[in-house]
Amino acid sequence: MLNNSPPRRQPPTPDRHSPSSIFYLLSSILHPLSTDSYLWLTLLLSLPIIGPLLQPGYFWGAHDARHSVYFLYEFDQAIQDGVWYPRWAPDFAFGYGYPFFNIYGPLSSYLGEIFHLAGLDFVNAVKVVFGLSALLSALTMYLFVRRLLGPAPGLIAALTYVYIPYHLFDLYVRAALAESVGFVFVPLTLWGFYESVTHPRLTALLWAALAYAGLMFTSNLLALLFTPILGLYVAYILLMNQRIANGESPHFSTQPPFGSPFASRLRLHALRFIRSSLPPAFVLLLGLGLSAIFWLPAFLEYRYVRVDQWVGGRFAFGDDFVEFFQLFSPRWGFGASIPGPDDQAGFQIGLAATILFILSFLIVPKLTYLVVRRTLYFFQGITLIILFLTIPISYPLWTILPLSTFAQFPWRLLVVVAPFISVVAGAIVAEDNSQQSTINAQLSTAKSSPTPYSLLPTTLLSCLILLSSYPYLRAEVRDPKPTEGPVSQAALFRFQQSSDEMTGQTAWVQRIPDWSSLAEQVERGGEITTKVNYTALPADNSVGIYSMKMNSNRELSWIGTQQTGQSVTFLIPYYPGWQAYIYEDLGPHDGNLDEAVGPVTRIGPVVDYPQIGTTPIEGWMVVPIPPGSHFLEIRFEDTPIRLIGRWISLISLAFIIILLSYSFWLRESF
Amino acid sequence: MTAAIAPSFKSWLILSLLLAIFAIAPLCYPGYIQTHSGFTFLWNVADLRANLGSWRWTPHIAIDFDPLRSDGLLPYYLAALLPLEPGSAIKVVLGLGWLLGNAGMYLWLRRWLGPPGALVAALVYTYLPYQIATIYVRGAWGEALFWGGLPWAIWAAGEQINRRTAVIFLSVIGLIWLLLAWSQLGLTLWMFVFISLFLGVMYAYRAAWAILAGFCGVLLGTLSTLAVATAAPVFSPIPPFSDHFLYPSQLFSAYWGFGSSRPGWNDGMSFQLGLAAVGLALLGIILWQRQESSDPPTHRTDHRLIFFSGTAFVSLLLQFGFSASLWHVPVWSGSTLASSLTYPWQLLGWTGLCLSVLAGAALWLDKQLIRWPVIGSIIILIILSSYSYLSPQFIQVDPEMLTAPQAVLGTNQMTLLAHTFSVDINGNTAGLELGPTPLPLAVHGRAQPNQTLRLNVIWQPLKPLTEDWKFFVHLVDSKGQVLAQFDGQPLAGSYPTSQWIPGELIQDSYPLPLPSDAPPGPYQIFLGLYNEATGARLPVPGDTEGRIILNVE
Repeated sequence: MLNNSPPRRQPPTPDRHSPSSIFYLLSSILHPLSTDSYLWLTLLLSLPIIGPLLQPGYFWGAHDARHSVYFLYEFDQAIQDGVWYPRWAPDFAFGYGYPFFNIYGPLSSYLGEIFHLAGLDFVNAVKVVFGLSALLSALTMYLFVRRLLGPAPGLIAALTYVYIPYHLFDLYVRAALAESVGFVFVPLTLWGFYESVTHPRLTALLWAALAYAGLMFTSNLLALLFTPILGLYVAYILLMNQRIANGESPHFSTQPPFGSPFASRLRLHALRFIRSSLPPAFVLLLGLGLSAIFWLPAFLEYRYVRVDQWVGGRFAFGDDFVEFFQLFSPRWGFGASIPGPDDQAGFQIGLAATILFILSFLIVPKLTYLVVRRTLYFFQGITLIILFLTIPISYPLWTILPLSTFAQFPWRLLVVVAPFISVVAGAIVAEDNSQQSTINAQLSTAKSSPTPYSLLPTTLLSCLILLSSYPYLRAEVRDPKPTEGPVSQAALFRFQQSSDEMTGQTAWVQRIPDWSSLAEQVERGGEITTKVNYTALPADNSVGIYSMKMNSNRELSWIGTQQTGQSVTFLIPYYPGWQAYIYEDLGPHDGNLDEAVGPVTRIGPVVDYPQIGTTPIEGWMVVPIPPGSHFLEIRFEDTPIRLIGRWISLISLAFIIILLSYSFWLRESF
Repeated sequence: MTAAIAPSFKSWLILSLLLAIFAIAPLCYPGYIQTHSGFTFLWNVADLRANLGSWRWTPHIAIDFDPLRSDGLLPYYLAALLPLEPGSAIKVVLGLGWLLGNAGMYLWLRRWLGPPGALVAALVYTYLPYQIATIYVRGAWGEALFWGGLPWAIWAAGEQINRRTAVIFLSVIGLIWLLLAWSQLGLTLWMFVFISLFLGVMYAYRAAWAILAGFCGVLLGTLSTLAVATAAPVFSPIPPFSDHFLYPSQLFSAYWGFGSSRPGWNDGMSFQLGLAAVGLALLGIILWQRQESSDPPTHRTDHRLIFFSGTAFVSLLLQFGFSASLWHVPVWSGSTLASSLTYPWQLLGWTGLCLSVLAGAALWLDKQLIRWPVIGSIIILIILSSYSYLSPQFIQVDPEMLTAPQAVLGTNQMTLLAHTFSVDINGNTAGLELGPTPLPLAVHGRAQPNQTLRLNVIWQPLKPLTEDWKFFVHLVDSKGQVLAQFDGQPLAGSYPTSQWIPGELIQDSYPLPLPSDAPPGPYQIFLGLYNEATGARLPVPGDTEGRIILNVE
């Protein structure tokens, strides 16, 4: 809003309840008597976004709706098997399995699992996560922009963020769970890095690291796209701050100290730059440390999965640029992105967001606080650059930059536009506009103190933001087709076959299957009790094998043979982490197992660690077995990389807990 | 106030143009937009490019050029001179018209209403449903260019009158009116009357030079257009003017469609004034008339506001049926007032312009509205109220169709865009009988006796067809003997011609079973339309029997 109050040179400074402290955060979110009416207004006006989720049923036809449910289904299997950090999804690729959670951010699955364990079925657990992500994204955006520009801009930015069409597209057309949850962490991460540069404090840095780790855990795409942008942002702000500190700002002396030698000045600047770079570097390192359990294996072991399945053919990025007109078109639909300009889905930026973004170019220059102004300049610039990267004219850049390997489709970059354009949109109600603005010159008689009348424009604007996206607040709720559900292992296999989705393969697989004997078994009403490939055993019965126990990431079998050079093949494609163990068979095996006592009592110590081979075409694991009676176990375990990642994460977590406790102790003591 | 606004004049103008992005973005569609004009502009622009040396060129391919009521020559020449392929050039001209209107409104009104008010007026004008329909439904590019240029004529007159010395502005005024006349002559005559009235009311004798300059421009434009058009006599029947008066409910109806104007109230397209235009204009009028409005430099007898609200009202009345007698007032050697326009609702453009001015005046009259959140809200409201109409019907077509029609029927009522032949074969795959499957004649080879030859066509109506025409297709041998024929409604009767929308592409297919004793060929096809009740055929230029003759090859 514009008024005649004296311009402020500083943004709201952190007081005892500094915005980055846990107390502030918790009180803002949880305290029912919070006096921040804008916060409650944000949440209230955000509620319509979850309207479609309140309908009975599920939008089974949405692009990734089935994936979201079945990812959780797979995740749950692993958790139920006692794997607290799942990496292997046993039912991918028609039951052969795939290291899906090793390369896919697990946070949305963890959240869904919490609700599933609390009693909700898979579908409703997913719906709750979708709904929470939408509301929490409003909250986090509000908190960030309130810190940056004030409460009213926070409200506008939050509503823009929540109702920007791409967000609705992610929720109800794509049903992309991880990306939707990612919407929560992006503002938090931006906030964290902003604080680390402008007001570095211990608690702020720790929360920033947690936010960044949350982003890393949530969505690979968002993390990969955001990290370079964050780097650029931090570098930009640091350099700008350097200029201010060096006196290049109009608010400071423009002359360096008289007679200072050039070299010493340079050293001084460099030292200053390095010193101010330390807090964001600390945040980045701590965030990476916290999430190392995920990203370290994900990046270093990514080469062991077949990427060609997701970058060629229908996934070729060249067909999925957003035509320029589509960015501004009211078209909406639930279809897919298809080659050419006639997509059956909407790729608009959003009417309200675009208008407010355009207006911001007149408003932002009038903001008085330099760092905020420059932050918004950066956000404006990055929005334009990313929008450019979504349209066909940017094709040459896509061939140079490795964008397609993780962004897959150019239109997916719109997810990065959403937060930046929303923050900038909030500037329209920023109160510290310069009084020199043209518009204010006409307002010489306007009142400066806030009145109910002065609040009305913000409320009106909020409602219009909601209204501009209201036609898109719908989901195609329907019953599942037989090829999709109801949720079961058999339905999962049918879905994989009918859609050629969730059929990822490891790098050892040459031929991608389109069905399997395992899936057929389940389809006929049976269940998968073993993944031993009995058809690969010698026809002369020279190898005996009995599968005793199998779960999502291991299988234990008794094996017996009198011949050397024999092996057992498992219907599981190899991937690093699979280990085979040969145990001594202690008891005289008579072939009659006592189910009540169980076979464990006869398993002796490990006598061999056979090297796992693979079949040339299918990539299935082939485990050589020694002559005699033994037990064979194959287990999916941590590789050294995963172990390192795990320990880095644990140490980082411990470090954060200690520092937070220390911070709390300091606060209480002084 | 003016001085305070001046430094940011360019910023506001750029803002206004940027905010027009939603309107012009569909023009960036990589393909063509289906409008009532069909592909006629494409064909004629291509023809003009081939005949740029001929100064007496008029659009003639599937168009009856009426110097008064048709789209003028200016858009054709602009498109022909642009170094782009015709489709893109046409879209550039359409976009240019739109942006000109936006910038012209802002420039004209910024001194009076201030930048925020002028911005709002420009945006209301840009996003008027009538403007959107003119471009994306009717494809009337001459009219689009006209409404784009009109605010510039008012701006130039204002500049000339205020500066007094500016002789150059007299030339500019004359030039603008000349260009307007070359865009749409009938509307130019109407609007010259309105604008002269406005200038006369506002500036009295001071406006004399501006009016005179405008008159010279209009006169020159009229004479030059008539001189060029004498070689192209108008022979098409003029749609009954009185059938197209509006009903008051249509002005406020949210209906949107891509059909044509039809007799009665049930038109296929929208004639709404626009939610934002009406709402903000009413707000402007209320603020203007309220008692306590002492702060703004205006009063209840502000001539400008009286003029625009008055002419908005009068122009609206002229579009209703009860004003029919006025339109039949003779003005020139037997011609009536109605001869100047094709439809009475073409005056909606002026009504919209007046409403836009009144909408912008709201921000001039109440400074409380000049706050960023309010301006932002108003802009969102303006664009949002028209946003759903900014989704025209896009089409992707074979480039060969864009060069010229294969045949024109009636008085440019319909065109045959393309045709192919195929032969029905009994398709079967893996033992599954798929039934008759068309195989292109080029692939199949000559059709054999007892086989079914199929004529596949793409029609494009260019005017509303009032009758349900039947189609005849005769397959004749080299001696002219009919071997097979098809007679029937198009698309098996599911979509009669009376429902066809001008500009749309209609694909149809006609089976012609060859008799067992059919000679080997060559064959010809006689294709045409006839009235089932009277037997009268729709004329085909070049054939006295109303047939399109196609060789089967």
